[in-house]
Amino acid sequence: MIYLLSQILDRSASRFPDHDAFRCEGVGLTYAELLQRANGLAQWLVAHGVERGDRVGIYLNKSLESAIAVYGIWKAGGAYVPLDPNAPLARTAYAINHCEIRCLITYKGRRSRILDLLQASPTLSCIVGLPDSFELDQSVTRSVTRSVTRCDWTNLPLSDQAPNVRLMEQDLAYIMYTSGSTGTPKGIMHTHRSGLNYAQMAADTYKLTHKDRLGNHSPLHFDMSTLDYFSGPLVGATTVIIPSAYTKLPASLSQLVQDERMTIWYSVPFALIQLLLRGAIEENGEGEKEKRDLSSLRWVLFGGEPYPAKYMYGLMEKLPQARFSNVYGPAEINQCSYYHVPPLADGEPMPDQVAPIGKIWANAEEIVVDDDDRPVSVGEIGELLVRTPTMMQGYWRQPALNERCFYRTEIANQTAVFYRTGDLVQEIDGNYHFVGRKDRQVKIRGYRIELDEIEAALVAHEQVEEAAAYSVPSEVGSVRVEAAVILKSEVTLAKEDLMAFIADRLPSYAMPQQLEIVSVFPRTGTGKIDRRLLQKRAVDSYRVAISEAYSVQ
Amino acid sequence: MDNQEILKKFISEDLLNSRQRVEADDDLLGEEIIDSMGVMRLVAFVEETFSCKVPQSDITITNFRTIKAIDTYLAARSL
Repeated sequence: MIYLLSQILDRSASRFPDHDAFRCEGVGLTYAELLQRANGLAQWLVAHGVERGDRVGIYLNKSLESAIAVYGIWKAGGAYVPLDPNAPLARTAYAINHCEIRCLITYKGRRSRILDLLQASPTLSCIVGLPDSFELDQSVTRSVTRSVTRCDWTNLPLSDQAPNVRLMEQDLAYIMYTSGSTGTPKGIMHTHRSGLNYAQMAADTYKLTHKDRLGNHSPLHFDMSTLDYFSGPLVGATTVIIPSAYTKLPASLSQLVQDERMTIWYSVPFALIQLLLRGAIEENGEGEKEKRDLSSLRWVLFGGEPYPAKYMYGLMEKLPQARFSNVYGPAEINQCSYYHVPPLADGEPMPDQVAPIGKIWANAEEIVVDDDDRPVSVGEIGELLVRTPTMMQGYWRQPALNERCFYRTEIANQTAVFYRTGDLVQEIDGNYHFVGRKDRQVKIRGYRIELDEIEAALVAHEQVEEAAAYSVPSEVGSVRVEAAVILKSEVTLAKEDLMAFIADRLPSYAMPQQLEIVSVFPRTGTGKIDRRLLQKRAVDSYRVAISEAYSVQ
Repeated sequence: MDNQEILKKFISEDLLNSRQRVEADDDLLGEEIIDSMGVMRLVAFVEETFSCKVPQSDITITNFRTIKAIDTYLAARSL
């Protein structure tokens, strides 16, 4: 029996030592090699002060090194904290300081930002993946005078032995930072227990075996990556890490699926829509020379945001051998339900979206409640509360938030703790359907964005009096964010300067596509900004812009 | 302006809102420069500006990684 996520690697390395655990850019890393390298990294980390429960940052692009980092950190007894390598500096520094990361794992491509991070994060004192030749003391303005321990990837030892660290399943395994409504990100804490439970449940549900080849589309800081990094290795499968350049070019992406003979796909619908529309998967008679063969795919998993049905059924038609499933679960609980989409029956009308999120996993339970936490009747809309062994411990150092995000009740003479998902659902024909959010969270290409956070970033500018952010549906089945601000009286501020100001605070996917400086906001009867009316106006003008763009062609 | 200059101007000024000046050898698809929506706009711009249809199967890393690569691709097409 295994009870730690790190034991996934030990077990698969003894069963399938010569099998590729991970692949990236055509290069493979076998389970035996991954084990040796992870042990070596762990030995180095422990020798340089990493202790049980320490948070270790991973600041890497999509690469084989990220797999070594995840398993190496676990074997050192630490918890990994994946940091978006493209996030604004202030946001990354916030996470590093907030969970007191002392050691960061990176690569030389990120070296230009390491100096800034070292300056912004006083706790940081140990860097893996930085060449010795890189000067930390570069100039008067960018010098780091404190002592920083470091080691380049090529100098890390290989080892058959993991350090002697005692861990239990309740120990912290990873923290993922996600958008928070107050303007600062919050860190979702998962233990070895919640991570391993998820790995096992998912491997079982999707019948993963060592013969599977999982396409890893999601970056490490995105919760969907846990299927590729935990469940794949659990069964001895091969995870093919897809570098970000491929995710931008659907025709290269489809080529990679073909070349690597991927069997399992898991991503947000956006990527699948791109694959269908631009992936060269059919001969369209317009000069197409090649057609990709995606017949290796046996299961297409998607989740994170609604999938417009015409694109999903469109792809299903092109991949008749594959099953399609809608996967549901906020990062706080990993995953708690799935819906296997049946093909459309003859004459069955196509819905707008693939709304069913299905049934709750056998090893989990749910309550659907109204605004006063009273259970609603079957068929009524309510908020989904879920209790599952794949659930997080809470948010790192957020006692007030942890009080609010869980719901406690008595079940079978025991205190049962449920996570409040904030998702509104409705049960129809035995399946839950996602109908919306209780709060102002929106999803863009699967990324969670709190509109409140965007407003907080705008209002942080000293010349901004009030701000409103709202979402506008766009034509590719996703949404775009727009915002409007009122300035303090008698000041002027260029739109570009305000955009530059918030770009230092928000990740690029949360940046408003449109920003207006206005003199008044529409108000509701109680004097609040009427965001619904602003949204409606934006939807109307976006429609006009789209139809004009099409009529020109 | 030659093709490379036209592409440089479009990518720097329109796609990147003058945040960054790109050079012919810069990796456009690397982490931070252009996202997937940007790639679509770039392809539309290439089709319109150079009056050619770019088939899906040509929109690949080989042809679109750098401004030089796009230029080479366009030159090969006009042969």
